[in-house]
Amino acid sequence: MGDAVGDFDVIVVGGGHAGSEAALASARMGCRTLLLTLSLDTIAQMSCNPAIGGLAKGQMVREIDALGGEMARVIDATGIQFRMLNRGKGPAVHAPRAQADRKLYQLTMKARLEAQPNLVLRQEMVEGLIVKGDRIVGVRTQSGLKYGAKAVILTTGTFLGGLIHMGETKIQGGRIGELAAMSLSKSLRELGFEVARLATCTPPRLNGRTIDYETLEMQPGDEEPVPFSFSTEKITRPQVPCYIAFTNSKTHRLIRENLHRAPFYTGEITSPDPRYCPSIEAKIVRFPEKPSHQLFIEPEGLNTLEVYCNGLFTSLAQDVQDEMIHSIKGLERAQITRYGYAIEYDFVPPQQIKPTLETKPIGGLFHAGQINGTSGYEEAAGQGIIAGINAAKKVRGEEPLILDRSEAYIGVLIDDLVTKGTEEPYRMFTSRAEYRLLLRQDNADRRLMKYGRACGIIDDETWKRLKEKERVIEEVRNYIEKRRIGGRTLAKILRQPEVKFSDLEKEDEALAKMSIPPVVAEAVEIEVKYEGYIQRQLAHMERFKRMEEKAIPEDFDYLTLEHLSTEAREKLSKVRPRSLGQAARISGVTPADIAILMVRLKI
Amino acid sequence: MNHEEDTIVAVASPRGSAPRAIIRLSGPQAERALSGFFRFGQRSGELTSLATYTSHQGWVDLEEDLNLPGILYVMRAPYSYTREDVFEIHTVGSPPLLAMVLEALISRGVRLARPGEFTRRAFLNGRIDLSQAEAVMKLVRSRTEAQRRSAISQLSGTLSIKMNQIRNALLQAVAQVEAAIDFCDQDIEFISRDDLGKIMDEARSQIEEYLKKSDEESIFGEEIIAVLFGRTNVGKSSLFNCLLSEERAIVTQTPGTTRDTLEAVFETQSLTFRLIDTAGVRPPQNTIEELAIARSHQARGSAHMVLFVIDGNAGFLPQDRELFAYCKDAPCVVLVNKCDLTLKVSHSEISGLLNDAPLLFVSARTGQGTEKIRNEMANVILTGKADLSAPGFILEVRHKSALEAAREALNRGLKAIEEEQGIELVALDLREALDWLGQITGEVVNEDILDRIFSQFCIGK
Repeated sequence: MGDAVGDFDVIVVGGGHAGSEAALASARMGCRTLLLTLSLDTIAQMSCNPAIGGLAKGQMVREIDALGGEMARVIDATGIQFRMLNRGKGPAVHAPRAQADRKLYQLTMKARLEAQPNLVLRQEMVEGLIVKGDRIVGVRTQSGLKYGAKAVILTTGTFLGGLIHMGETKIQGGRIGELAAMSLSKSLRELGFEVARLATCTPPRLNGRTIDYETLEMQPGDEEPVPFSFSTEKITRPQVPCYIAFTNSKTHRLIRENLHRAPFYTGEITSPDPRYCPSIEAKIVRFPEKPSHQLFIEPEGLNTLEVYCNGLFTSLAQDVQDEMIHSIKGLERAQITRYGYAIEYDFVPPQQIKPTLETKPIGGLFHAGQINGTSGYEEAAGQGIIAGINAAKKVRGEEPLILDRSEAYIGVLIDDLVTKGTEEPYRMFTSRAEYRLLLRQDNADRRLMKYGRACGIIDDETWKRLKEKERVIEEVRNYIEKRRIGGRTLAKILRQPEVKFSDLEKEDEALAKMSIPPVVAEAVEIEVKYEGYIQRQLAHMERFKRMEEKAIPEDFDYLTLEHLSTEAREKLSKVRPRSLGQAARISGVTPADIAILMVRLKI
Repeated sequence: MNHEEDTIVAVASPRGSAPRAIIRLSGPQAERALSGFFRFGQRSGELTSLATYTSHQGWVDLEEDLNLPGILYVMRAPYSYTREDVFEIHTVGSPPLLAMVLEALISRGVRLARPGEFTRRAFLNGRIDLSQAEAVMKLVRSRTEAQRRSAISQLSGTLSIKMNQIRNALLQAVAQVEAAIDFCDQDIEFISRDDLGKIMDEARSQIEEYLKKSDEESIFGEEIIAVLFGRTNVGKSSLFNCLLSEERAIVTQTPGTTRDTLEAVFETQSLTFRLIDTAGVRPPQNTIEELAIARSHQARGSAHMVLFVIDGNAGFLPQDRELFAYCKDAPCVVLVNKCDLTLKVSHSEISGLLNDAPLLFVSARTGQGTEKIRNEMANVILTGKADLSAPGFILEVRHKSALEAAREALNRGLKAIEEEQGIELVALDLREALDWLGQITGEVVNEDILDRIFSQFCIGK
């Protein structure tokens, strides 16, 4: 653009979890990248709970890491309590989670962005998109500047038309005390996008000095914290505990008596109470028989006494929040440092984007994170890195990266969004994945690092280490399949539910002498123990892949296929599935419709 | 050439107890599946030696004492409809025996063809062109929808309730297990392994019972359902009696006499029809009639064929026209009744309004045209107009194999519980059982499971 202050390959709008990963991926792939954010002091800010990971989310963090992302490394550097969840269950569903030092996490990510060659950071509010025909060419900012770009990634979080609710009070803002991006939605609507609204909420924060910890149950982290990243050797930071408190009948009565001051219930907020992180109001209303609800008191960091009151998400007025907190055992004298609030924001319903995360109507424009209707840092970051990679690939004229449902949670996430859309903030669960036993935290590196490597964002050293890990796994597997003790192979012994890999090492000296790294032992144990189940999932996956490989041209005209049902025709035209498999997942498309499509497509 | 790896089978002849039936196989493993299954008289049965376009007398070796005589037609690739190896067994048209043949072939590694699959293969392999293929697909679409409708209506009431109970129990179990995996850090009580085992065991024994029943008696009828439909007092019940040659329905002059649907079975030209008489449709006068009319529409909706009755003495009224518009889902025969009285309609006048449905002038009072009706009904079936080649017993085989697969999955799950395997492994079997059951009761999607979890458990973040 002639009048632009700078011309970039890729511009990322927004510096949250999606924006940070997108900017890093793009810059690391050699694209001149600009990250524009409302405030450089809140890069990678954790707007809600100070934690990363959890079920399905922890797996996603490892996937981001395998693709060459930063989230895992930053949480490893700034985590203050690590826990491997589901340890009571089989290793196939273990999931890492960690409390973060909120401030440190944010500063660490900011430093990584600052240190990244090819990446320009600038504090500016984007007001509009500049489009030529059906292609994005740049953005306009509030200060009147224009920046040119070949691709733009929008990661607007809750800032797009953000409106905060605390009881009767309404404040414009994307987070409490911060600005909102009020003009960008208009620009999106003018370009023909459907823009809709979602809501979410956050709990109050407390001053830890005023909490009676003696009366609360302590929840320590794991004694041996397990890092998220393939590249992290050891967690060295001191670990601190969380605490558990409970609401009671008094708390519940207070909430019930004050529902008229909860905008989720007064009709002030028109979007539904988010089902996957419900407000405490919703919990009381929906589950009146439950006498108490569990709250986690989570540390905000090592250099502050402030704590986060996980579980007490609320839209209620401030004075009710005070009373609510004081009704809880251990928090009788606790002081609220920041009140909880609900926030409404704009999102662009995601059936308007492709599995590459590029929007359908505007070439070169990508959406990632909450703008696509998701909830959660990990969901955002997962989309961020894919958007960053695909924007860079677009600029470089390369084929996009699309992960399918059988290779990554990120694939499940994006496929669900673009195929089914969402009407409430979408959160990942392991139950959404058909191939849960394949999409494990222990094998994210072996599943996905090849893609990061192909993009050029996995360095030689890391790649070499992966190859070595794979080699040792192979070697150990071969060994235990052959080596027999008392007539049975070690592998057979390991298949017994109660036997662990370490038991084999006790039985067999040669195996012990191989001094197998824990990550290898973990992988071998899982793969041997669950071999039958994994084989079954692999067989399913084969069938799934065959349908995914049956491609449908992007410009395929469904309207001429008169034998399709009207519903199928409309939905197929809207979603524009890229494969027959995806078409079959659209609700309302029947097997008969698929048969008709197969004939027309000659597949 | 298309690279389909699997071999498909289906009954290729029309539905009903016809004297002869055709079972068609297509695909590379057809020969292997038939080898030792279809046996020849004199020569030892080497199928590989059979040339294309030849036919061979022999028998299907069903069970020790059960041999089914038949003729095997051989059409070798590429000289066949699908351009794959195609074999056809022409044998007796007994639905239960055909079902046994299909089941035996499935156990020998072939699978039931999906709707329109022979045609799709023919098209993909260049045998037929797009317009031909699409014409067939159009039929397939209406057939599969008819099949879906009849699948539901053919499940008798108590069994369909039971099927839903099993599905709900399993959905409940899945929700519990999934919640236990995804929300392990929440303060909620999840199902114990014992209780989970009990639910699964209960579901399994119900499926078992169902399968046993289906062996003993036919759950899904092989009858062709024909429904008498029209406004009130056009003489549906009189025609019903005429066709059955017995005084069965109460026939009066008062409009709205028939309140319940009446059913009876008759045979003509070796086809079995279940004839259903429905209440006449008019603006309802009271709730009972409202219910009766709803039932009429329900019967029409599940019919394979509609006999649309109008009163020739009254003419083709706007209300007739309105009701006729409902009859597009199934082939229709229009009966102009009371033609012993003065006719106020003529063939040329109304045939254009009736989408080329065959039109018969009849009189229930004199019995004029009764035989013509029976013949036309058989004609609709035998000329394939009725598009009824998705017979009940095919559904039966489909359902049965789905139920058997669900049972197998539950068996595996119960074994996993017994062996104290992880709950995430039991979940895999449970989900699989639910998927199979979903082929009968409607697909279960992730959202259904999440709905269950979140309506049942109070789960925070």
